[in-house]
Amino acid sequence: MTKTTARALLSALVLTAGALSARPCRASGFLIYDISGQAIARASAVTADDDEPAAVWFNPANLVYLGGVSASAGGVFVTSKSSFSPSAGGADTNTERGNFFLPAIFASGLITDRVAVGMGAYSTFGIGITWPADWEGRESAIHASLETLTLNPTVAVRVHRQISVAAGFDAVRSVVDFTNGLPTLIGGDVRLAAGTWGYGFNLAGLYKVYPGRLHLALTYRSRVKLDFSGRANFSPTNPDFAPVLPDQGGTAAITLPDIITVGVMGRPRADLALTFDANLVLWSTYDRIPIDFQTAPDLAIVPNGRNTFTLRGGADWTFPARWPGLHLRGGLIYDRSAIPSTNLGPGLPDSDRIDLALGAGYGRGHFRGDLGYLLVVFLPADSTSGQEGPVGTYNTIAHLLGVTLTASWP
Amino acid sequence: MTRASTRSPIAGVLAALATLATACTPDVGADPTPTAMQFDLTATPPRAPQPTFLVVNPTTGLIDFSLAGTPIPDDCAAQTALTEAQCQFDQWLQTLNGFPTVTPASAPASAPLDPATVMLGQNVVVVGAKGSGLVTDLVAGFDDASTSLTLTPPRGWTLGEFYWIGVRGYANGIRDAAGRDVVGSPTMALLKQDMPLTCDAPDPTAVDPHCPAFEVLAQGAPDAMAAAAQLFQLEAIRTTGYVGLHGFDVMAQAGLPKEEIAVLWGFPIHTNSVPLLVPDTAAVPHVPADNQILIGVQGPVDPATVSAFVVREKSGPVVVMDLTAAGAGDLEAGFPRVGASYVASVGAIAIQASAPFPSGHTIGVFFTNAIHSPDGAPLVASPISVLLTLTAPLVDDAGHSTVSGVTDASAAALEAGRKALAPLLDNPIFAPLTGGTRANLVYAYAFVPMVQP
Repeated sequence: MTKTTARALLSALVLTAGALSARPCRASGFLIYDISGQAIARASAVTADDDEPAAVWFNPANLVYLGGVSASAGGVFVTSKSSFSPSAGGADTNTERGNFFLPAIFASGLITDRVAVGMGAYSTFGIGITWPADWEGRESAIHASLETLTLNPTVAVRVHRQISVAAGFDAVRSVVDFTNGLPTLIGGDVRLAAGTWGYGFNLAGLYKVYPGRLHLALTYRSRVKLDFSGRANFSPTNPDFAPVLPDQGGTAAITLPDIITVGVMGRPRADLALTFDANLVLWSTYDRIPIDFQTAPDLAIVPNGRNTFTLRGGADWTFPARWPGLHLRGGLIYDRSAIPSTNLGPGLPDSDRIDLALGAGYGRGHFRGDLGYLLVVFLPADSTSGQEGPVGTYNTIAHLLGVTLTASWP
Repeated sequence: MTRASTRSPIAGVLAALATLATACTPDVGADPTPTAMQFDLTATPPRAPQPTFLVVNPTTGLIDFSLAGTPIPDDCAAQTALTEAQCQFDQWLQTLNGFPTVTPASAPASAPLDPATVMLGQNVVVVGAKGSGLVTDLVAGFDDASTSLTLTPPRGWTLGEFYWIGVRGYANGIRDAAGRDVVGSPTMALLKQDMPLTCDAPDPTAVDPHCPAFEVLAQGAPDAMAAAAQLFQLEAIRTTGYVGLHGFDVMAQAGLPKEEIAVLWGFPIHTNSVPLLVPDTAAVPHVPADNQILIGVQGPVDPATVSAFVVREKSGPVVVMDLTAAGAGDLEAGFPRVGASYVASVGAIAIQASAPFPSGHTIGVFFTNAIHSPDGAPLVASPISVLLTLTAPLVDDAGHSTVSGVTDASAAALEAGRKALAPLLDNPIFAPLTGGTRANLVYAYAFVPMVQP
């Protein structure tokens, strides 16, 4: 590994750690797959065609084709807002607008003509939602936050002129911060904050059937078990309940899902790349979140997550003759809800989504800048059983704006 | 060269990892846990104020510990859940239609209280609901062993009375040993509700899961049915006890509003008259002359039912023995010739011997339940008399009391008396001769008479 590569990797780690510890690191939604400016603009349908260091996340098998040393820094600004309309009638309840910035830093370097290494520090799973403290679903959620930071070293090997494979290790630092209302007669709330590390791995392959014209990709990211341990602060309004609800230790367990992705890139013209990805996300790992307290009655959130899929289509136009270095991009996403309507709750008011992506990039010399915008339209989602929250309909809309700056040295 | 630039990449990685390890874990803070007046009927044994009407069977009118989930077995020797002495004592309690007049009231707390902050009538309000009104003639204390506030009536509770005791908590109430507020319990919070806890569900299977009280109980119960059953139990206590017996109304009239009550409990005192026997107080036999003994009785007595047993001459419910003489084999002297009558003016049964009791001799006095009050109800024993006549030991091998509420020291003293009386009560001649048995004795005491005019 070159000295420059090592410095780039270290810088990525330190900068991201500093960014995440210096401010509330919150995210909207649970899987935030779209973490680079370039990829967002193509609906993140890039597993078969990713020429940026963020390939560490999307498909590290691409790294051996980047050449030299590359590093990128950027992030995604997310703003979202949800509302709830009770089935029984009455006024809608709105969440606070959530504004989050998710940094992502990547670096890669070719250490032989066949082997490349890469490193990423990024956040791809997160929940961040805050409802009014006195709303009707307060016992299900007032505030729910799950933050993750993944450190992902990876190695890619070109096993054939047209075929590369990669493997990586994921170390996931995660923090949860839940605030739930206590039953009406008790009043007040309980806040549980806890952190943990979880570990996983990832595998990837890329087959350039017709290099530059037709690529196929397959990636797998393992599930990551997160066993949180922290403290709970009970704040009952009725003081008679305070002695039996002392502040105490608490634990929670969440398993991040496996993600399997297949992708294809076709280039019908030299200046147009069309890409298509399909993610299969095994959200069945997200079936039950036990929250156990030392002495207080335990709780359980039961989202009963189901395996689901996401379809992504993207396009990248270039104009080599008139505006060399310029890319215009667009894409579309259809994302299936992971939570059945019977288990839908205000902590994660998931729904089927349709996303529209747009963006552009421009590179000159060693440097390149990419900008991507994603409009996420959550289709109305009904909560039907009252099991995990009030019965009614959730509506959410989110905007993502991703910016990435990349530097490359041959 | 700056210090940062000399740091090795490994040190940098370690520093970054250390930062990450604690990154973003919010500090949720910590609040002190307040001291509470406890009322937990689900604990084993229940941690609740004593005595309580909750163990008085509304059908029979008698104390019934099975209502608290702790039934007393018929054969005390064949069970291990209780000490044999406790079992026998509880069997006796279950014959009463209220608690003994000498029963101290107690309310458990989660931490030591400051008894100096107890102001009777203000933050500890005791009201006799059947006519006694506000009661302030009590001794308040704190029992460290049981972590309980204690209230002892120096002259006993009134026969047939029903008492409510309310402890004021929160900002204007009693304080704990650290000077902090004392709060109530979840059970008390539920019992203080104005609306039906069951949300008008007809039975436990039909409880709305969003019923507020059910939501509270469901969090700590093993399952929904257990929570629903507990809900109906509490609702019965609330309606028949606290609402039906007007506990909160009684307290409000005495100046203690419901919202300031940390714990409230009530209990009845039995209606039967009782010969007094409390060795640590004045409630012991009085010897005004060397041939006289006066035994106080709380409650009225039908004088016609009071007469002395005279060996080989007449039977009677008052049996007097010279235990020293009897122990020496002198049966004649062992049953001194006495007469007995009820002296209404002093509320005592007077024993008059034809000759002075021999100096230094231990005299045993026994009453049977053939002595009645004017309404025909038999006298009942006081707890000390019962303890002295049990067949089971009052202390265990380690010297600890085997009966709850009796201190180790008291148990040791009583055990000496019990052992001294046991040979007499077990003697096959005693019962046929005198008519007195462990089951029908309402007074049993042995002492060396000391004249106190």
